[in-house]
Amino acid sequence: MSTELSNTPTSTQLHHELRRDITVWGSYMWGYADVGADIYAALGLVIAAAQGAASLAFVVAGLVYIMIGFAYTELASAYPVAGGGNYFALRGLGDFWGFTAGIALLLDYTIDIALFAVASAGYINFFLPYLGVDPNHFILIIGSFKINYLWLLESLGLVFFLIWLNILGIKESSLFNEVIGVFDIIIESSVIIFGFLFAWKPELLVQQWQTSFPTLHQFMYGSSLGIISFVGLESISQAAQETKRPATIIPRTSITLIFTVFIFATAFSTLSLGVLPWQTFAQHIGDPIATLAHAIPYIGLIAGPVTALLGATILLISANSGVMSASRLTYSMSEFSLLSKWFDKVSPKYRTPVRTIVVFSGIGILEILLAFLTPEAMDTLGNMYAFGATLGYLIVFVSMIKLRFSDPYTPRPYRMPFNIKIPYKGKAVDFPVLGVLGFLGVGMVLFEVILTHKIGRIAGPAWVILGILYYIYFRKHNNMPVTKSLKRDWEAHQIDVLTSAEEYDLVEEYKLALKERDEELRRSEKNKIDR
Amino acid sequence: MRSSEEVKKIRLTDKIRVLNSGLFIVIGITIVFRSIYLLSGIYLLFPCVVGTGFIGLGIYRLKFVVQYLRDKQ
Repeated sequence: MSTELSNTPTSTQLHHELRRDITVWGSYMWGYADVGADIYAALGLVIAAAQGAASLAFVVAGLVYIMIGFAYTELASAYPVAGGGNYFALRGLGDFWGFTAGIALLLDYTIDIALFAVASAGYINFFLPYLGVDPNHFILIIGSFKINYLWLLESLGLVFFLIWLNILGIKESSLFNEVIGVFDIIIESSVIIFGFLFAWKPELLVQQWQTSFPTLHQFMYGSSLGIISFVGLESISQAAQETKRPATIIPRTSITLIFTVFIFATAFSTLSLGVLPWQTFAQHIGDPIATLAHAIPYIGLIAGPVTALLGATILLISANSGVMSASRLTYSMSEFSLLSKWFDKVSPKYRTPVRTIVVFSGIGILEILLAFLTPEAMDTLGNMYAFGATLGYLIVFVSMIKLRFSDPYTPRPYRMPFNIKIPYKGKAVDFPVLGVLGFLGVGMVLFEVILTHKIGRIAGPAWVILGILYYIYFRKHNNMPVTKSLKRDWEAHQIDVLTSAEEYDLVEEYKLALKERDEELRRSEKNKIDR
Repeated sequence: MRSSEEVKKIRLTDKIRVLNSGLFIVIGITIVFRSIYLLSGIYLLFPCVVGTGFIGLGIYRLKFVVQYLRDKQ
C-alpha cells in the first residue's frame, strides 16, 4: 500500500463541502423515490413483452436485484462516500474501471432524469381532458418527425424545476422527497390492498400463464426491462456521504428497501394479471398503474385521477433522485481526478455542486429532446436505462469480490450472506458465494439487454466509448496515467471517511486491524532476517 | 440507548407505519388463503411469494413497535 497522498480528498473536504443531514427515513426515501417510481414506468413495458409470464420476469429480475442490493449494502456501509459504484470500482479495480463504472452509472442518472420527467409529464397529461384540453392536439410535424410539443415542454419544465430545487441544497430536496414519498406509499399500498381484496381473480392469472406464455426472446426482453424496476439502491450509496451514522443506517435502510421493492414489484405484476388481460396493459404502457386502479371496484371511479397524481409525483421525485445522484457522482469523480476539476466547484452560497447539477441535468434535457424525435420517447429512454445499470452493477460485483481480498481490514458492518473462508496470503478471507451468483445474474441480464434492446445496445456502448475517449484525453492532458491508477493513501482516506461520518467505533476497529497487520509484517520480516 | 423523552414520542409517520404494516399482514393472509382455495401446483408460486412476502414485510416493519414497548417498560 502506498503511503503517498495524492488526489485523495481529505476529511476536511469531505466534511465541509457536503453536509450530512439525511436520516434513516430520508435515506430510505431517496431509494424509494427511485425504485418506487420505476414500477410505474416499467410495469406496462414488462407486461407487454413478457405477457402471461410477467410475474416470472419480475421475480427473475428481482432475484438478481436482491443480490445487487446485498452487495451495495455491504459496500455502502463499509465505504460511506458519495461515489457509489464508481468509488467501489475505484477502490477495488483502479482508476480506469472506476471511471467506466462511473460513466455507465452516469448514463443511468441522466436517463433517470429524462425518463421520469417525461413519464411524470405523461401522468400530468391525464388531467388535461378534465380541463377540456386534448393533449393529442399539440402535435408538431417536422418532416418525418411527429413531436408532442406540449408533453415535451412539460418535461423540460419539470427538469428545470428540479435543477432549481437541487441547487438550493440537499436538505430542501430531501424534505421534498420525504413529504411526497409518504403520500405515495399510502396510495400505492391502498391500490394493492383494495386490488387484492376486491378485484384479484387468481384463475385469470393462471389462464394468462397457460394461454399467453411468451417466446424466449420476448421473455428475455421482458426480464431485462424488469431490472429497471429495481434501479435505486445506488441512490442510497450516493447519499451515504450525507447520511448520519451511515454504517448503522445504510444496512437498515437497504435491507428494508430491497424486500419492500421486491414484494411491491411482484405484487403489482401478480395483481395486474389477475385483474385485467395482459393486452389491456400493452395498450396502456404509459399509465399501467392508473389502468389497474381504474379496474378496482368501489375505488375505481376516483382511482384514475388519484393514481395519475401519484404517478406524476413519484416519477418526479425519481427524476429528482437522478439529478441528485448525477451531480454527486460527478462531484466524486472529479475529486478523484477521473473528471475535470471544473466539476469540483461547490457554490459558496448554497454549498452544492452547481456546475455538475446544471451540466448533467442539461444532458438529461438533451436526451429528452432526442427521445422525442423517435416514435416512442419512453421506450427509447427505457431501452438505454437497462444498459447503464447492468454494466455498472457488473463492475461493482467484481469490485466487491476483489475488495474482500485486497482490503480485508476495512470494517464491514454488513456482509453479503453465504461466505466460505478461503486462505489468502496467510489470512482467512470470506469469499462471497452470493457475490459470484450475483455477478453471473447481472451478466445474464446484460447479455439479454445486448441481445434484445435495439437502441440500448448501440447508444449505451456509444456513450461508454465516448466517455472513455474523454477520459484518455483528460488524463493525458493532465499528465496522468491512462491505464494505471494514481497513487493514493486509501488507509488514511478510510480513516478520514469514517471519522467524518462519526463512526468512531469503526475507526478504532480499523486502526487496530492495521496495527495487527503491521506487527505481523514486522514479525515476518524479522524472522526472514533471523534466518 | 434512547432517552425517555424519545421513547414517549410517537409521530404521525410511526402511526401510519403501524397501520400500513398491519394491513400488509392482513393482505398477505388474504392472498395466501384465496390462492390455496383456488389454485394448486406451480400456479401457487407467485401468489404465495407475494402473500408470504407481505406477511414477512408486515412483521418485520412491526418489530419497531415491539422495540418501542420494550423501551417504554
